[in-house]
Amino acid sequence: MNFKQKVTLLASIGFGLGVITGVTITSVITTAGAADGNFYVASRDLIEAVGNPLVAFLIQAFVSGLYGAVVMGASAVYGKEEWGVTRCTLIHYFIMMIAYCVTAFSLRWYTIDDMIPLTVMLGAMTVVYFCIWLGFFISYRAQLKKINLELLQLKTSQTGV
Amino acid sequence: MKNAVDIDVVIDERFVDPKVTITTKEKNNFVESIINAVETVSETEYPLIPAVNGEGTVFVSQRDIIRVFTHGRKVMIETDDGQYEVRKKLYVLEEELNSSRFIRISQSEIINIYKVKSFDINIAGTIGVEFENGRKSWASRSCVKTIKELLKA
Repeated sequence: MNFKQKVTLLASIGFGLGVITGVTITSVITTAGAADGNFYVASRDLIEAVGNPLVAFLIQAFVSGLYGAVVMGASAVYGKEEWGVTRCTLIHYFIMMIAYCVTAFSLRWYTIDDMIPLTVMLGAMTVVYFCIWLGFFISYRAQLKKINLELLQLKTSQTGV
Repeated sequence: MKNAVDIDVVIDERFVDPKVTITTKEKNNFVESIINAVETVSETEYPLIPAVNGEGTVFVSQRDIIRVFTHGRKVMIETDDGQYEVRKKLYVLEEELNSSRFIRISQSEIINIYKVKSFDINIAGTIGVEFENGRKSWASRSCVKTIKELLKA
């Protein structure tokens, strides 16, 4: 499978996952936040802006799907073996952050008036990506340390090299 | 009837490449024939690599090769004595090299694992290879798995 095919496959899977998680999380958070006995299928600001809950739901689902497709499709960058882990993680991080901001403002998850929740969310995502990078780095370093030890044992135990 | 040559085979895991010692009263034509026969088998299995430098063509033993790499459109091999050009494609040369000794670390480089001093990873997350002669190179992440399998074999 070449890189383009991999991106397409991951984006397709990401679209489905994006729809499911986007709709679920938004419904739960909006409904819990409102706490008025009503069930909300999208953010209240989006429903108000569109004027129709069903249309708001469909927009919510589609845009969430697009976000999932972009983020999951971009994860194909980790398959570029010739690129370092840092480069892959940074590329995916920036794509994800930009996609998240576009999605969040499109779906009225946040407003311009109050940027603190968005800032907190972006900060949390930054921490997550740092942990992802750190995990990769520590894993590779441990593997290479083991390889170096085995290489030394191999060379010192064998003659004719 | 006793054979003209006594052959003793000693299994010793320390010897990656078989070591042949000929114990004889004198070095005559018969002994030379035995030597030639052993060398022929050895070169057939892991052939010498013909390479070119400024002085002409040389035949390089695979044991002496540190790494094979592309430089522009040329394929080069590096030994402790210097660098030589090989008039073959990298993938063709890869098939001739001893697979228990050589490993491809990127699209453009094959290394002799026995000439490697150490592997490391830097803050950029790229894997570095340092050779015993001090030379450094870069490897793709996928080679880590291949190296582990080679060392286990």
